[in-house]
Amino acid sequence: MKLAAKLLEIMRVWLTKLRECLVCGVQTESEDEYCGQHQAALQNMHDSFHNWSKAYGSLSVGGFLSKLLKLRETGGSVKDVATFLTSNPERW
Amino acid sequence: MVRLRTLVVCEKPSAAARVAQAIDEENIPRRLKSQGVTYFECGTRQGPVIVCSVLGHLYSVDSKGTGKRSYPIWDNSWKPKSEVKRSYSSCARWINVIESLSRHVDHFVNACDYDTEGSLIGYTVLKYACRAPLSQSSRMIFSTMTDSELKLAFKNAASGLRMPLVEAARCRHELDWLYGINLSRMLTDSVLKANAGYTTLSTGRVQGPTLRFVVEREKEIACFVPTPFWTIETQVQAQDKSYPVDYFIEKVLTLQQADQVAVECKGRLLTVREVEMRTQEQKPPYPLDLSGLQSEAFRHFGYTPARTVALAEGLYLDALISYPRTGSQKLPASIGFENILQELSTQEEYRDLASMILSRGKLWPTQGMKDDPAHPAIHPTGVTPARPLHGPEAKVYDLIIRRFLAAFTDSAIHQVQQVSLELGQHVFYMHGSVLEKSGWIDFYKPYASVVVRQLPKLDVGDKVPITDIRNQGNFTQPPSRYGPLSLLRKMEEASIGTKSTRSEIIETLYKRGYVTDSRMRATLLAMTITGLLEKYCKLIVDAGFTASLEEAMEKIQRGETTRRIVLVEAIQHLRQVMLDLVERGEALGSQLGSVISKQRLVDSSFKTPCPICGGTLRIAKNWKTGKRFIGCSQRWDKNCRFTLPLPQFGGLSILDRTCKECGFQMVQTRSKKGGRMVSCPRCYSRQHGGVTDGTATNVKRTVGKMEKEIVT
Repeated sequence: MKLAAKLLEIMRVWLTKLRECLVCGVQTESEDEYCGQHQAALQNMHDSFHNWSKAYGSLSVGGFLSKLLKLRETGGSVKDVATFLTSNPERW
Repeated sequence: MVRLRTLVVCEKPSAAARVAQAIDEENIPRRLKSQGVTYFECGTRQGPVIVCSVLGHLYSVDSKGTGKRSYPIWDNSWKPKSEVKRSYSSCARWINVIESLSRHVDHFVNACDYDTEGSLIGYTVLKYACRAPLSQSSRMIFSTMTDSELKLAFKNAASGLRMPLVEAARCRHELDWLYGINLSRMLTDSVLKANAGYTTLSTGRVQGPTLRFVVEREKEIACFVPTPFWTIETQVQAQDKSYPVDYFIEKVLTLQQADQVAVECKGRLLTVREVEMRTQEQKPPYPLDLSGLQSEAFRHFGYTPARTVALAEGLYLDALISYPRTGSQKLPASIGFENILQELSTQEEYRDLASMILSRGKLWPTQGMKDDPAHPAIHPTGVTPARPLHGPEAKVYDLIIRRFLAAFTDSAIHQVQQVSLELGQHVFYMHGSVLEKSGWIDFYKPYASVVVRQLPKLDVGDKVPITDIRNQGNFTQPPSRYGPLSLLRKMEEASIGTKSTRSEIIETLYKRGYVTDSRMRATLLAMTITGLLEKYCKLIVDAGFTASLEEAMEKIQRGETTRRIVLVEAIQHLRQVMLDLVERGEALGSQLGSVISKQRLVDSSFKTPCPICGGTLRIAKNWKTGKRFIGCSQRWDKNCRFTLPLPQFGGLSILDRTCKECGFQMVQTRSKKGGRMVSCPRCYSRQHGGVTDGTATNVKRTVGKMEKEIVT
């Protein structure tokens, strides 16, 4: 019984390890690829991108990310996600 | 006539001196001392009166005979503070003296501050130290420490101890103890079990939700995405002067539209479409309640809420102002407006202002919305300070007096003007304001200021040229971090904590390392603790739940429920929470432990790099002697032997400040008595010939010298 419990525990740890945040590596318990904080930041970025492209007429995702990275007002978690997406543009 | 022997208990020694002076027939009470505790003997027509004081709470809640770290614990009792905490050992002497003074006493009077805490302080002393029967006890009720009010309060002392207030305060202490001790011990213990060393972690009924406010704001800032917008900055020329005008759309959301406005309006003439004038009345500010005073003191002098309370408390004990821990914004006529104003008119600084108000005849102050049945709004007593007031004390005193005076004056009248200018579809506004009647502003100077903006005389149809127009790119700003004052306001809004405890809770957040900086930045530890508590027992960090308990305590005060019912409900809830948390103790411990280790590493690392190899400098300990010093993290990898000495006593912390001489990060030591010493380890090492090559003898020599100097 004890061995089975141990095995189950190892499996659980192994499975949770598969769900690590792509940005910070923190284990997540949800189905998302990001932890709660970075998921919220990404969501805000998606929501704002429409406003940004409307404001500047046309704007590429790359341009949007590089502008965000330069701004003092941008939140820390948003900058983390922007840095990650700059090198992994397919994740946008 | 039977002569009764009376014992009066006051909250502080200075209050006891004032009360004794007021009660004594000749205003010269006998000052006596026993075991270093001062008390007073007064002569009155009714018989001798002994006035003694306590030092705040002499009794506190403690567990009934369980170990120091065991949890959960539910059984508690009130014990002398000296038995609960070693640092309060002096309380034992005070209890002994009061106990001996209470022998052969016929009547007992509680003369502590008239609020829930004061009622409880007096009650515990009378119950446990004096063993006084309730039938022989009475309560002095007063709002200022002036002789006349204290005399009247003693003469008309209400029989009984105002038990609903006492019960509400007892319930608050017992609830705080139940939540605080169980949750804090559980957190601390889970970290210990995870082998992350001992760290005091705390949370509580009020602390948890308060910290959550800070953490939520931190998360909001971290996830903030700024959005671009443009403002149209425009200048027009009228009567040889340049004036700024505002475009009718405050924030233009697209660059194309902003460019279009600038191109279409550049160098063109604007036509005056409408000139609007109206008078605006600005009523005098309300009398101050505690949060109003804290807010004004922070705005004008930068004092934290806790500091303002301490300063106001000092002024109250000197009988200069009324009781400051009040929630009222109302001044009742019973405080004697005329007397106070007449007294103030004898003080040179306020003579003219007070005389002006007195000469008007009718004395009707502005009243605010908030009310407190126990005390009126904060006001001066009119008593001239017996000693000259200096610095912060004088500033707060001046603020209170001017605010009091301003409440008796007229509204200020402003003439507000708005000129609308147009060019096709584009509309611009020119705003101006002129002070027509200063009213209360003159009385509340320098704490009230007026912005005067005179506009040129323009009529409908006049034309004014645009001299400059440009679109200014901006970005929306993230929400600002809480400061001590804005957090205090947030707590007040959410109805958590009391007037007296809110500022202390904020100080605790700093002490525990949950927040840093004056604009409160949540640390990683705070984020983790709040995150875990949110995950495993959300109710503990839920402000709504805490507010419901506060409401229950208000009900006890009003006699609508009992302490017993509230406690039973709270214990039932807490029992379930504890069971949930204990079940997840291991997970909690490992997550908290890793964060604490990270935080410890951050706290012991310098930002200034090693001058030899560029590695990280850290506070290290010699494993043989146990002495601390600064060492390089590359000691083993690159054999870097750079070291610097550190002071060997007191709590050590690395400051953000750098040395002006050498640019090295400075360190601060804090002694147990609160003494602080800031020094630069590098400069110290240079001045005392400490060679920083890291050889054992050199380090030993420099550290030894540093210790010696600090001790002397």
